[in-house]
Amino acid sequence: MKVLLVCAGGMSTSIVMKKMRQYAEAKGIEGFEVSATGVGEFRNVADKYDVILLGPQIAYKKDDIVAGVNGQKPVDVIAPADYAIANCGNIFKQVNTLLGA
Amino acid sequence: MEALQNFLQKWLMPIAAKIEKQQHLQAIKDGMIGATPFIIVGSMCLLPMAFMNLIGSGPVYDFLGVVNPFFTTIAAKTTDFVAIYACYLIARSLAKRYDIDNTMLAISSVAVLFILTGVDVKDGIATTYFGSSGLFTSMIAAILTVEIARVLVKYNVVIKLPDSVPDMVSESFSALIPIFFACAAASGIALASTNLGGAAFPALIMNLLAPAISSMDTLPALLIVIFLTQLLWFFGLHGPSITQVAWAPFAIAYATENAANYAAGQAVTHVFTYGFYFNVLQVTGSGLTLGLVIFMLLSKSQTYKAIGKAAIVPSIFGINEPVIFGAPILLNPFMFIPFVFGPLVCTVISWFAFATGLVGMPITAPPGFMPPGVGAYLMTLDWRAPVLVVVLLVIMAAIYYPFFKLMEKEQLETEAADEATAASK
Repeated sequence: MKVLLVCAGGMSTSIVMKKMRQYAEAKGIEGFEVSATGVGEFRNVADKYDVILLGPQIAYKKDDIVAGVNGQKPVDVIAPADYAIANCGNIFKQVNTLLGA
Repeated sequence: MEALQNFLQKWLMPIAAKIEKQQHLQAIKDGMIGATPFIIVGSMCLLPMAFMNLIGSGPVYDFLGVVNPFFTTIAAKTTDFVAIYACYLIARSLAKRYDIDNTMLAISSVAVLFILTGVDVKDGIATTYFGSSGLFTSMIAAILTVEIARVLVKYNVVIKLPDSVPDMVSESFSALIPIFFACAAASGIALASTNLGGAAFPALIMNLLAPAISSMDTLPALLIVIFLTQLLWFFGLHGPSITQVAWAPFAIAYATENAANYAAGQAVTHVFTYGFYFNVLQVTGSGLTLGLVIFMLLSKSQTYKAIGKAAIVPSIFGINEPVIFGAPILLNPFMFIPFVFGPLVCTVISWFAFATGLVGMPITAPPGFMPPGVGAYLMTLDWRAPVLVVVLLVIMAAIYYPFFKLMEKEQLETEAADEATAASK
C-alpha cells in the first residue's frame, strides 16, 4: 500500500511519516510506502499513491483534495489524538479500512 | 462554552473552505510564498555587509570588504528582482488551479510584467519596479495573463493546424495567441497609465494601494492577524495557512523592501515582515507553546508525559501540531484563554520592542523552522532580538501555567480513576 500524507507544508506530517515507516518495519508490513507533502504540491504526486490522509489542521481542505484526485482515491482525515503522537496502530487501521482490506 | 464552540465551528469551517476556493488570492499567496527562497538567499547575502556595519573596522572587516561584492551581487539580483520570480510563480499557481498549466503561460506573464513595469530609460529599462514595489504589479500581470488565456481556451480561440502537423509545431503555434493578447493588453495598460494617468503603471498601483500597504504594518492589524490565527488553531484549523492569504503578500513585500533599503544604506522601516511573524510572534509554533510542552514533559500524568516527549523536538523547530492535537489545545476550554489571548500580549510587547527601537529592525528574511532565537538573531543581527524571544516564551509559559495546572489536576484524577477500575477488575 502506498500512503500519501498531506498537511499545510509537509512538515508535521513528515513526523508521522517517519513513525509509520518504523512501525511498518517493526511489524514486517511488506510493500508499504509513505511520504509527506504540502497541499500546494499534492497534485503533482498524488497519482502514485493508493490512499491520501490529511493532517487534522487541513481538514477544511478535504473537499478540495477529493476534487483534486477526481474522487478516484480514498481521502480521509487523521484523528487529532492519533495525529498528535503518531499513533500508528490506529492510523494503519484507518488505512486498511479505507482500502477495504 | 459548548454553544460558542458549536457556533464557531459551524461558521469557521465554511469560511475557511470559502477562502480556500478564492483562486486569485490563493494563487497570489502560493506564488509569493514560493518566491520567498529568493528573498531568503538574497537577504542572507547581506549578512557580510551587516557584520561589517556591526564591527566597524579590523582585519575581519577588511576581509569581508573584499568578499562583499560577491555577495551583494547575488542580493541585488534576487531580492531586488523578486517581482519577476513571484510573477512566474503566481501565474503558474493560478494556471494549475484552472487546469491550464503550462510553462509558456507562466513565462508569458513575465513578458507582461516587463511591459507593465519596464519603464524605458536611456540605454535600457529601469529596474525600479522589479523588486518590492513591483510585487503588486506582478500579481496583476500574472492574473491578467492567465485570465486572458483562460478566456481564449474557454472560447476555443486557437490557431488550428491540420492533424498531420507534428505536435511540437502545433504547440508552438497555439502559444502565440495568448502571448499576443496578454502582451497587447499590457501594452495598452502601460501606455494608458503614462499618457492618461501621468505615471508608470506600477507607480499608479502603489499609490492606489498605499493606504492598504501602510495600514497592514500596524499594531491593530497584527493583533487581528494573530487573534484569527490563534482562534483558527483552537478549532483545529491551520491558522497561518488560512490567514496568510490576507497578510503574506504584504509581509513579504515589507521584508523585501527592508532588505533592499538596508543594502542601499537607507532607513529600514517595516516591523511586520514574514520573518517577524514566524520567528517572534509564532516562535516554537502558533501560541508560543514551548513552555506548555515543557510542563507536559515534567508532568506526573503519564499521558501528558508521552505528549510532551512527542512534542518537544518538533516544537524547537517551530512545529507544534503534536501539542495542539495531543494536549489537546484543540477545543480545550482550559486552553482557550491562554492560547488565544496570551499571544496577543506577546504581540503588543514585540510591537513596542521593535517600533521603539529597543530591538533592531528586521533587515533580512531568515530561513524558517529554526530553534527559538536563531531566526530572530539572523533577521535583526541584534542580540536583543533573541532575548526578546526568550522573554516572550517565559511570559507565555507563565500564562499557560495556571491553566495547565487545572487541566493536569483533572487529568491526574481521570488517570487515578482508570487505574482504580483496572485494579478492581
